[in-house]
Parts: sequence; C-alpha cells; structure tokens
Amino acid sequence: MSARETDAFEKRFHEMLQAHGPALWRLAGSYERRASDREDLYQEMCLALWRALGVFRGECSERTFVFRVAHNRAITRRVRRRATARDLDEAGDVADPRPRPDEALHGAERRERLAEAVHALPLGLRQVITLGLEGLSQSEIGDVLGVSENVVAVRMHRARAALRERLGESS
Amino acid sequence: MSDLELREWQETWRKSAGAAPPIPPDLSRRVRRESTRLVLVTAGEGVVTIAGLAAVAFAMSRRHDAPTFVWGAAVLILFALTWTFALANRRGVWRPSGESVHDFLAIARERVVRRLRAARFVGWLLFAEAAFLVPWGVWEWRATPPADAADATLRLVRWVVVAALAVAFLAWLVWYRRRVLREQEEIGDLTRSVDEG
Repeated sequence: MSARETDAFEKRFHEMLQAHGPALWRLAGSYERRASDREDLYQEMCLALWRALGVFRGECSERTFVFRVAHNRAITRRVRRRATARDLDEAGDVADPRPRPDEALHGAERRERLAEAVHALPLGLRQVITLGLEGLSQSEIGDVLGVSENVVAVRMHRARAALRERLGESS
Repeated sequence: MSDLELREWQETWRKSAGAAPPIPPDLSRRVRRESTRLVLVTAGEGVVTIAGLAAVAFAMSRRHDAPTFVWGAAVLILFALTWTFALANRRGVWRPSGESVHDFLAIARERVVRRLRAARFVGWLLFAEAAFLVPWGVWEWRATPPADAADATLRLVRWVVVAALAVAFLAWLVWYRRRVLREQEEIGDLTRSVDEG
C-alpha cells in the first residue's frame, strides 16, 4: 500500500469510527457489563473493523458492515472466553463506574435500568433490540444478522414486550 | 406497542453509555504485529518441513544401512501426509468478518469441526509414529548395535527425549481438543440462542 493509499485508508477508518464509534461503544456495553471488559471489546471491535475495512467492497451499507463486524467480534470473544472457562458474564456484572456529573439522577437511573434490561435479554432478542435502538430499520437489522425481515419483526415484538415487562412499563 | 415508546427508549439508550473511549492509537501497529505473527507461523511450518527433510538427507548421506533408509522413507511419507491433510483441511473456511452474524456463526461451526478433525488427525499421526518408532528402534539397535557405552547412553537419551516430547505433545493435544469441544458447545448454544431469539 502506498503512503497516499495508507493515508486514505486511515482517514476512512477514522471517519467510520467517528460516525459509528458511539454506537459500537453502546453495543459493546450490551455484551459486556464490566467496564474494563467493555473497553477491551470495543478495542477488539476497532481492530476487527480496521482489518475488515481493507476487504470491504460495498456489498452492503457502511452501517450494516460496521455492525456485522462488531457483532461477529463480540461473538468470537464470548466463545473464546467461555471456552477458557473464564466466563465473567456472571461475576463481572459491574456497571461502568465513570461518573456522569451533568446527568439528573432520575435520568441516570432510567438509563441504567434500560441497559440492565437489554443486557438480561437472550442474545437473539438482544441483538435485534440493540440494533433497533440504534435506529436501524428492520431490513438493515435483517442484513446485519442474516435473517429475514419477518424474523426481525417477530423478535423485535418479543424483545419489546420483554423490555416493557422488565422496565415495569405499560404499553 | 407504540413508536413513541421505541423513540423514548432510543433516546435513553443513546445517552446511556457515556462517551466512547478514544480510538486506540496503535491500531496499525497491532495489525502489523498480528500479520507478522501469521507470516512467522506459516514460515515456521515451512522451516520445520525443510529442517525435517534436511535431517533425512543428512542422516542418509552419513549412514547407508537399512534402518536409516526406512526411517527416511517414513519421515517423507509423514510430511507428505501432513501437508496434504493440512492444505485440504484449511480449504474453504476463510471468510471476511463482514459477513452477516448468521453466516459468521455457520463458518465458525465449520472452523471448529476442522480444528477437531485436525486434532484427531494429529492424534492418529502420533499413534502411527509410536507404532512405527518402537519396533523400528528395536530393529535399529539390533541391526547396528552401539559401538561403546557412550554411544549406547547417547541413543538411550535420544529415545527418552523423543518419548518425553511425545507425552508432552499428547497432553497438549488432549487439552487443545477439550478446549475446542467447549468452543463447539458454546457456538452451538449461541447459534440456538440467535436462531430461536
């Protein structure tokens, strides 16, 4: 790769992370509740994106591509960690301790409850709802996960019902 | 269910995580390091093969007895079998990580199957080597007896080292297979969880 190509690649990567970094950070939080694990996963997602970007030929939208890589990375990490009997999902149920000084207590509690409720969902529902919460359409969610729109619709319905129940909200 | 509800959740969700950490500054270096590691691993396989072939050539140039010839032929067959299996077993399991989650899990399942197949192959290979080397060692000892006590000691030490390496490798293989089986189980659970929702 020439110096100019390298610069263009790095610029593209940074633009991609600028656009999708916050969403990836939230996604990492839906897989990992412990702050340090979440940061590790986020870094792994960035690394996987860097590697995958070189072979991305625009077969799908950029957003779909980014979420595919991120979910696949999260799955790979989970498989490896469970296989080495270091399942920290149970033991590591510690929320991100970083302070949010400008947030009202009520809002912070609500956000924490939502994050907890999402994390408690089965993976299939969690994947659908996190993508939905990021504003992806059902068609885009289907593209990320590799399932039909009908399946997405059914899971979204179930995920929302489960979330509503966990949050104690009425429809 | 209402879209208002989803919009409220979306707003709450987007505020939930705080700011993402900065982009890791050394990404390109880490990618280069991993690429170098992959190149070294591949090169290492080539080096082992070349070293093995060189050892056969060296031994056969020094000794022209039947046991050495049979041992050399066995090593050549072993390398040929191993490379044939390794190339066939790696075929068709590379995919870019931009695949959908469903396709990614399918390829992950296939990769695990291939790794288990490789572990089984290596186990059989180890067994075949032991089945060959034990009678071959007895034959070699009788056909070309040690010249003196020092030579006998050297040969015995060589056999002890080979046996210890084989036992260590077998232990690693058992550990590796167990780990891959756990990965297979986990991928199965994840697939069910993703498929059933």
